Amino acid sequence: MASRTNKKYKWALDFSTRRSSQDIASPPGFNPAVGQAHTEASKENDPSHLIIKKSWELALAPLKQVPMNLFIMYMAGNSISPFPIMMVGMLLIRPFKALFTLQSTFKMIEGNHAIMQKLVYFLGNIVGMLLALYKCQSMGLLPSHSSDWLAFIDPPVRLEYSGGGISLA
Amino acid sequence: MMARHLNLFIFMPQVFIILFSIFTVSQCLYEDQVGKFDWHQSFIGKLKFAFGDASGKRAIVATELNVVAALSLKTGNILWRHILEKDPQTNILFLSPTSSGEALVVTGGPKPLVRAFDPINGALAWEWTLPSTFPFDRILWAVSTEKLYALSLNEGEDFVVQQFNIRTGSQTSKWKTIVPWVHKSKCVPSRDLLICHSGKTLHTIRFSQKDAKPYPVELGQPIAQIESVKSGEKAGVFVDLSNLESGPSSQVVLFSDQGQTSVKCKPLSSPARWVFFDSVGESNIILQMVQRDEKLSIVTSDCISGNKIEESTGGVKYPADLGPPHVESVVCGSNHDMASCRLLINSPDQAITLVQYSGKVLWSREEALAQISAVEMMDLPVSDKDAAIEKEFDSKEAGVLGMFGRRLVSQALQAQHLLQTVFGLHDPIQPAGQRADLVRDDFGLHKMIVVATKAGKLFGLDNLNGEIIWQKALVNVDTRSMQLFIQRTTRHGPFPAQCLLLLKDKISKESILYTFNPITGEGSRRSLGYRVLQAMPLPVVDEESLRPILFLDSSEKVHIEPQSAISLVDPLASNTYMYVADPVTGVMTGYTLAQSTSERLVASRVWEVVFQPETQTIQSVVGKSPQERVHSQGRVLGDRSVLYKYVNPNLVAVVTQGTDTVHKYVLNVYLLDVVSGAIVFSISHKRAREPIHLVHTENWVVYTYFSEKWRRTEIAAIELYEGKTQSNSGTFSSLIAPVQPMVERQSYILPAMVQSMSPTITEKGITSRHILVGLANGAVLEVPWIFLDPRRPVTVTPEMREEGIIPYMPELPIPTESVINYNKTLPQISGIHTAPSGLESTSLVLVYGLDLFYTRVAPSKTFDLLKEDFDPFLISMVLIGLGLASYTTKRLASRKALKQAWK
Amino acid sequence: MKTHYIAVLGFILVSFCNVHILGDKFDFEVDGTVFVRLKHYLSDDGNPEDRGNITIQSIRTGSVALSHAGLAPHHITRLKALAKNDQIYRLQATVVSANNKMVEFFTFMKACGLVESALSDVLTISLDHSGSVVAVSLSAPFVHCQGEIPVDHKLRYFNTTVIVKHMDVGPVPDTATYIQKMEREREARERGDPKDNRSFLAKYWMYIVPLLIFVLLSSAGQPEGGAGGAAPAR
Repeated sequence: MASRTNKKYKWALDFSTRRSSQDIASPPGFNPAVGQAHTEASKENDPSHLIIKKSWELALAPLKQVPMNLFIMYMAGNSISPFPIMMVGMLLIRPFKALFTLQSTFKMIEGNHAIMQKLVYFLGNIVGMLLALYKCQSMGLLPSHSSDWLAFIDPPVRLEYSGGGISLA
Repeated sequence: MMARHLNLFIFMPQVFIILFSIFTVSQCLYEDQVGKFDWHQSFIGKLKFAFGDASGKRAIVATELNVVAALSLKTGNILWRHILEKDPQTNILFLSPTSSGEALVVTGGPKPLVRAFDPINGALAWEWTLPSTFPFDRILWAVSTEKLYALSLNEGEDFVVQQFNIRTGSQTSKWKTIVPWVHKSKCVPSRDLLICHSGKTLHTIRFSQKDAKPYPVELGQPIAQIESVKSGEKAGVFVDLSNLESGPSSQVVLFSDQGQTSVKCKPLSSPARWVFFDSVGESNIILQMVQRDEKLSIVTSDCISGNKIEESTGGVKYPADLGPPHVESVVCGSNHDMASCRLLINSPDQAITLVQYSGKVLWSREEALAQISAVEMMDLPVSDKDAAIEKEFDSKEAGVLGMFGRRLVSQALQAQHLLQTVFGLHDPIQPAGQRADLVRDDFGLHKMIVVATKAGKLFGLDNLNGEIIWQKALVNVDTRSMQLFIQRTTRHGPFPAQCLLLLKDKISKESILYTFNPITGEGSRRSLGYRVLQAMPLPVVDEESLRPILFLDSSEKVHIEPQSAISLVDPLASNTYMYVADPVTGVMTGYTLAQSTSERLVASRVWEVVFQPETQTIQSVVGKSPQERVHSQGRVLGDRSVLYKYVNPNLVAVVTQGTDTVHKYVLNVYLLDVVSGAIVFSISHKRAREPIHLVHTENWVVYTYFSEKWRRTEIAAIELYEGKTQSNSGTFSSLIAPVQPMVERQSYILPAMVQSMSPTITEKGITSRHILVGLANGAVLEVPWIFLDPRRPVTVTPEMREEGIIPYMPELPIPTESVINYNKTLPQISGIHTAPSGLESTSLVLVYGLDLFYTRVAPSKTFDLLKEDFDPFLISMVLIGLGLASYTTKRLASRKALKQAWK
Repeated sequence: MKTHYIAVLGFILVSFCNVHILGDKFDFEVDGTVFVRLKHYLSDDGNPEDRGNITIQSIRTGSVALSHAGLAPHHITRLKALAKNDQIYRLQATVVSANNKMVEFFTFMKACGLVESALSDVLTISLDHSGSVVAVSLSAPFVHCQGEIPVDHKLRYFNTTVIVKHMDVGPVPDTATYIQKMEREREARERGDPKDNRSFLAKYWMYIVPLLIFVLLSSAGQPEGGAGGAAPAR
């Protein structure tokens, strides 16, 4: 930022010093009220507004992904083969990564008024993760059935011992 | 019926397409693998008759197991072998050379036959039937000049001679001779004479001639028994005299062709075995086998004078207590030189030995191996090097320094060993009396096969090549109910492995224990002084790692072996149960040891199950192998739920054959919990009968039987499940809250006759189980369990397909790829022994019967072994090459970067 | 003397009569009745005492009549002592079949199981193919012996369930069904696969609908995305 100050701007909007309209007579047909209205209208370009808008866009991105993900999931099918596995892996890893980089993602948005956005972003990713888990479940990748734990069941200890057979006499 | 089979036949191709895809799972063999993992030894059984053929190159033998064979006199190998009818009533009654050289064999039984085999190639020269009404137990057989004589003796009255043409079987004449002294056990034919003894007199009569006159010969001493002289020149008998005082006990009496004149040789102190006719000296030479200590020597003496002519210098090693050997035949060269004669000796331990006249053993065959009754496969002991390492971990009381010192020593040993191997200086130091290569290998594939035979002879065989490592003959034993236990394996440090063989004394019928080291065969015999009803190894070991064995005797007293282990029983006694099934009364009795004290073991009856002999008789009682482990406690269904197995270690399958007025034969299978005495499940097959073979492992029972109704062999499978929940996952009790299992059942057609059946077994039970089925045609079939699965449905739903169930097909295929003995036919299979190896994937198999066949099977393929074509050298070279390349390129790249930076 | 005592107290009564038959129906050629006399051992040594009688009126249907003697207080004490010492309760069953043949059977269970189930035991009588008794066995299927001894008055009367267990009929290779199945399959093959004359849409709607949704979704997102993309250019 500091280096930028001594460079020449290609263009700049300067809001700090307002040129008074009194210095020069207004051109014919100029209606200051219209300018007023214009500034009113260009409030949308107000930085904080833009930041909020951008941050909401950011926050809602995971949720917007959901229909797409649903479609991918549908297309991938339930068979266990490399491509569906890769897809499911991506579905699962992306929200995870996003959650871990949550702070850095929202760092670019200045101020700490982005709590709602963060929450929505978080929820969106959770939804994405749940979807991925649902997919894993329907593909049978989650150890949710008793059969998945079967290998860990130890053979029961016998309480009684027996032996014998046909009489040897 | 016919049409149905036709239909099956039409649809076989599609069925095979399905099956081939499955059978690729099963193991098959490439041509170059033949004999790599397997070996095959052929036997003939206990020698009954033998003669040397005219060429002097082979001996023709007939055995107790209905085998006629030719043995090469040079090597002892079987040149040809015919296995005659295997029928309990059929036996070989007579073997003799004909005048044209063929081997003439008379077999009795329901279809008596006379057959002649060519001695060179074993081809059947001719065959004719005898009337089945013949009183075979009273007949003596003789061959003389193209005639076969059947002498039927009517005790104390007369004998009837029937003369047959030897080639056609037509009865040429028949006459009766009235003589009062004939008796089957007291008469022998020798050449054309019938020689009998009564009291102190020998009677002779020429049987080949009608109205021949009998001649008596007085010997002056009471005669115990006589045996005919088989050597060609003259008729004669070896006489055993029954005088109680010391002195001569045996005599040879030779007769002229008509029997009217006789030559009485000088009485001898040990029985004569053979008579040579010395054509030069015109004298008869008598051969004796004299036993001195552990050696047999051959002594020849002159008949008349009794002067010793020669005594063999060598001597054959022969156990002192084995009983006298029998000279079956003496084969001499054509030049009548006595030194070229060879003696074919049959000893009571069923060994056949060919001994040179000089006393040198040419070869020996252990025919006891043709009748095996118990097998165990033992791990070999570890090598000294490994033992040192094991010792290091054994003693925990040694301090840190001590442990460290031992570690240094053992590693130094290892280093030394490695260096020796690398420089080829390896000089193995083995314990005395033990071979160097008999040490455990890395994969536990090298084992010692301990075999107990019906002849009472024990063998230790090397499982890699079938070589006999040690042998031990037990004498005067009754081997009918023999049991072999492993008391200590080789895994217990300084203590040697120990096996225990339980058998009975031949005379007193009291039980005998033979305790031996299975690796060396050294052991000791001890009489117990009571009759053991049943034996049971305890589930614990004593401080010497010896597994105590409980014996229940016929007066329901309990004994323990070793005695010192009695204190070990005390904590277990209240949970220890024994059972005995008596096939005669049909009563199965359960005993508990709960009332035992630490000093005395007491068995008290707790349950009794009665299979009433009027309705059924117990055929067999099959428990589970104590070695077996069940890895998976359930079965995963298509919907990913679990069907828990009902694995009851106390369950035994009792097979009974019932009779019924309507169905004639009824086959019942009861699954009995031998702790509680409860019948868990029972199933009955109408019109089904023996042969019944049953396999009982894990949670299933498979059995084969003959269906009288359809006249075919069927195989049925029963599977037991607890259900979708496990009632008690931690412990299994037959008494506290017993579970009623749910039962799946199915049966299949097996288009073959079954002789024996056994499941494969692996160390941890992870590998799927196959069933090895020994068939009557000499094949051993490996049937995967999924083929016998009772849950195979006719129409398969997708879930079932996911579960891996194949659709039901009534007939099991017999694909040749799953015959584990490929083209080596195994006649008369009597049992299949399987043992786990050190590799989880591999199960070791010994098929016994008349032949021995050893191989290994991998039911789930060798998943824990690298492929044979895996080249570690190539892979390591590639790896090293890549590593080097990456290192050099890295260096080059950095140098280049440096140069770039300087630019 | 003990039996006398029971008689005096009049404990003999017909108790609960729960009867089950298990297994596939096994047809016996002849029906018959079986009489079972039960005697039990209430101490380790000593003589058995009468417990009651069972009459299987018909081995085919398995209908059973049951009469039991109850337990006198001193019997209860002895039984509880057995249970406390983790000993076994033994039962002797004398089976008298229709032809007056007497066969003795023994069975047992953990005494704790009997006590803790408040004398609700299950007596299984297993029959063989001819209808004669093979085994009589006693059990308490749901009791885990946890040491909870019920009060004495619950231990006075037996609540015995008698199960008459027939043999199951052995399976027979099912060639008929298999041949039928083969026949059906062959017919199906000869006829050829049935013509699927549904319309294209009806057959493939499951592919078309998601595709449409996808297209719609992406086109709905387009203007928004376009606007977003254009924003920096302004």
